[in-house]
Amino acid sequence: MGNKVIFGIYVPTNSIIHRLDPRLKFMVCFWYVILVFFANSVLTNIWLGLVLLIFMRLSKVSTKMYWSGIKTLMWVIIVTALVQLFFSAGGHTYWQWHFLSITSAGIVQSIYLILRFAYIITISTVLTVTTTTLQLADAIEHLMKPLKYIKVPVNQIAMMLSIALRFIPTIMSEVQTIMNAQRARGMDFSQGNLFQRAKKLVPVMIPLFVSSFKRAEELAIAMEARGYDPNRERTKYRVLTWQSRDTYALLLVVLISIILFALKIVF
Amino acid sequence: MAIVEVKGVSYTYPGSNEPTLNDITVSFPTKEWTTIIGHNGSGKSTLARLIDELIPTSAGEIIVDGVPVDAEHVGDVHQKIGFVFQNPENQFVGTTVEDDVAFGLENHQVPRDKMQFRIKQALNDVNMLEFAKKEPAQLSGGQKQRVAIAGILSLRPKILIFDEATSMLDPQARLNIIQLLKKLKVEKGFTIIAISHDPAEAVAGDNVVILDHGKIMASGKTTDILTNHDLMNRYNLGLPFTEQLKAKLKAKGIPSPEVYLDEEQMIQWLSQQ
Repeated sequence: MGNKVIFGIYVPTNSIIHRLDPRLKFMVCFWYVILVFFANSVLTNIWLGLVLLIFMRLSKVSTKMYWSGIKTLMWVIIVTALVQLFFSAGGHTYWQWHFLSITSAGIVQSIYLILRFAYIITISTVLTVTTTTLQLADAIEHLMKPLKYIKVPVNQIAMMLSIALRFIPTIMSEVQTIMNAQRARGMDFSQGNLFQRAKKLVPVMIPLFVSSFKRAEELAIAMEARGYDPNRERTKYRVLTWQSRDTYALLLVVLISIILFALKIVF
Repeated sequence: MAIVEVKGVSYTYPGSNEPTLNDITVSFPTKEWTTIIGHNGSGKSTLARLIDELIPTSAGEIIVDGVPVDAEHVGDVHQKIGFVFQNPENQFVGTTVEDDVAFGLENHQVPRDKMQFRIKQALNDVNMLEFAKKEPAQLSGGQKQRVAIAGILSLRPKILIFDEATSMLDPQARLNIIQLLKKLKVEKGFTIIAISHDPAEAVAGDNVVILDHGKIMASGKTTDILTNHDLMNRYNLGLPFTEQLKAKLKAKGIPSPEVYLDEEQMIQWLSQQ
């Protein structure tokens, strides 16, 4: 269960990208996705692709890992590109049948669309293969901090996020235990059509929910015994420190963006 | 001197007709290890939770190290008492061992530069320092329980409460934890309150309290209570191994010492015969 990985899992190669501040990586990933939507010419797309290739090289993670990210979403990309190809109008028309047509503009648009998908998936993979989930959670917590001023309970949300991450393996092993218990009583999870299989999961989900609620209650009491008060300020053990290399990386990203906009305006 | 005083405490769970605890008065001596034994449903966990204000006291009075246990002093009480629960999995809050130990320190607003030292010290006390970066999924039940103990040691409490903390562990891990507690009690001068349904675990402690149907049936020195076969049998508690041996020797007409002997002393006595 849960073996299908969409955006890749952490690969500890300890590259320069691994050592960057997770907040920076998170923001750069987000910013790159925005930039992708600004790229609407050959040159800008080539430029973004080049930048991405450099990121991939620097991460020291095998190209296979990145390819598998794109592969899992291949069908979504192909279907969207085909829709774009057949329904776009403009430019020279090569082929037409009722409301379907292939035009020069449509071809260009669908190529850009494929590139956009590939870029966005790959940059997300760069983030997830170089950053642990724990670091990502820390980064999200830090980046949410300003929301405190509009009364968003940032500390509580961060605590929930970290506990959720902590209990994923626990719950997964519990699912295995329950499924094995059902198998021992003659249940076969691999037989039947989709609907029948889904129905067979009901006797797995019910004990899982019951035990999860029990777990949550015990955890809450244990947290209280150790002095947890959701409404009080807490000190933090895990801190993120912004290093000079993060500043350089940020400057580099600014430079990349300036070049992109220059390419867009000049050509 | 008693560090924890329980005076006339009763408790009934909401929605229940029968009181779980009925007019309990008991005291726990400073720097001694007291084991509360009793069957499931005897109210022993409830008593422990009342002492740590994890459930509010409705009738009676509890005083912990001079502080009355009530809603107003809940922070103080949690500071003085370290509580280790039964299930090692469900009290592991942090994503790694060191994060879990840090959790309590963060709650008590300990500055970060002091945290590192206290985490290291606490993990060292329970021999888990080399596991500091490990995730809970990589640890055994006994190791998780050690981390839970480190988590409360880092808060420097005076009293440690163990609510069946070894019942989910294998025999070797259980023995290791009991050895660890003995060592901590002597080295750091903790008061220990342990809850168990197994009299064999009471052997490690100084005092024993027997709880049955929400009432205190007996309390006193471990050596006095565990050698009182009538009392132990009356509450179906079963005897520790050496006492069983003595009972069998007696049945065969072989006299044995009246005083309580632990396994080592028993071996010594037997080899002297």
